Amino acid sequence: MSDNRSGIWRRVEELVDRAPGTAALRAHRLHLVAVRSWRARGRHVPAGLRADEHSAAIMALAVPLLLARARAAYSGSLMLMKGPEAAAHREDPATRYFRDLDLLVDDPPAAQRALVARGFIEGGNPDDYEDAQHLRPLAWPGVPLVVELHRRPNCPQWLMPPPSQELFRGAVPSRTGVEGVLAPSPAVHALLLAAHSWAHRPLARLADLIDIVAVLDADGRTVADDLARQWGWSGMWRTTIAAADAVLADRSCPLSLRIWARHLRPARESTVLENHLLRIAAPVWAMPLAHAPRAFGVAFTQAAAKDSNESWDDKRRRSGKAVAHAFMPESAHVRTLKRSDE
Amino acid sequence: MTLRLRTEELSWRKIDEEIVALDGRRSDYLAINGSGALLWPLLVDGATPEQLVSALVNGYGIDESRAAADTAAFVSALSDQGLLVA
Repeated sequence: MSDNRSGIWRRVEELVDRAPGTAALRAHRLHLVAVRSWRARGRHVPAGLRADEHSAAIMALAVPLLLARARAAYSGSLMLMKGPEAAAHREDPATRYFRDLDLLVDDPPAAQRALVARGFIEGGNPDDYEDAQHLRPLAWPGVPLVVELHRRPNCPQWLMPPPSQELFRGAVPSRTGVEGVLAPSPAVHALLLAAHSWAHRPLARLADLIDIVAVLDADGRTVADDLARQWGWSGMWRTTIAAADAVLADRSCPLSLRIWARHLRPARESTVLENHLLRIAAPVWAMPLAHAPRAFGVAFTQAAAKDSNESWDDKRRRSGKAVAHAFMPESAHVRTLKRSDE
Repeated sequence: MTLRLRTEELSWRKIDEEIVALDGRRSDYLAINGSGALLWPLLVDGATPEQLVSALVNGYGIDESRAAADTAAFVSALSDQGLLVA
């Protein structure tokens, strides 16, 4: 698939045309592709999407500035993951939305101190980041893009992240062009992108699959397969790449896309029910049978847990609404919840 | 005299008919449209005031005196913000 890159971008444009509306485009993070595609074809671009494009440009402009400042502040290893690094693999990098810079560092506390000493400002509640994959977000005054220094790559709780040293060993220069900033090798990056998406909502967004396919070079597929086996990530990886092949290369449709990720091929939003289903079903699907109960337990606990800033009464109310809105698109459900909070 | 935008800590993008720029020294974002967006790429490559005026006359079909006034105002604003190199 990675040999036929222009074919992938044609396919992405077809998905954009297939999406039922701007809410679906945003849900799949395809809205910036839509702007470029529609403008090139002389189609009207709605004001809301033009504003999104403007915001994305503001974020993108800050990338070299912040990376150069981070590089100047800290002398250890800095490896850029996802966001602008994934964007740089696209035919048009401006079509990839991001709002932070994820940097894996070899000594996170030292790097955080160095960036703060240089003028970055720590945000967020310290308690929220004690055991998180990254330290407190760092902002540069006047710049909306934030920097997150990672202790480890983000991955689902039921998978073990690979040691950072292993990731640094195979690192390559970042495509952002900022001297001294590294990026994961293509195969490693594809795996990290997959794991990140599974940590949030597995197979939820088309853009996640596009990223994975975009970063893989001609040899990357085999290397990624081997690494996934070594890291115990095979089930997650196989499921992800089969979905990507089906959606972006017209390969046969795997069962996952027929059962719990049915929203991907029509490029529509997932419903509330589908969203819950994929969070719970996906880990069980991706793990070997012996580990499936633990994966199910973790996924179910996460799905049933209340947010840190809500009471159990609020959680019960939210769950009741989710049941009532089971067949509603996720964004419409979220809008309803926001209205009832006001 | 050639006018040129500085290259250090100044990044920009063209979006549709608008230029969005980030001045890294001041952490300041600029949104430039209309005649400024027409002149900006010329200033990236370097241009004389006469070339800038000519670009406005040709681009907007305005008379030379108005183009000269618009150019002077735009160049002055960029200069005040430290965006031009000598």
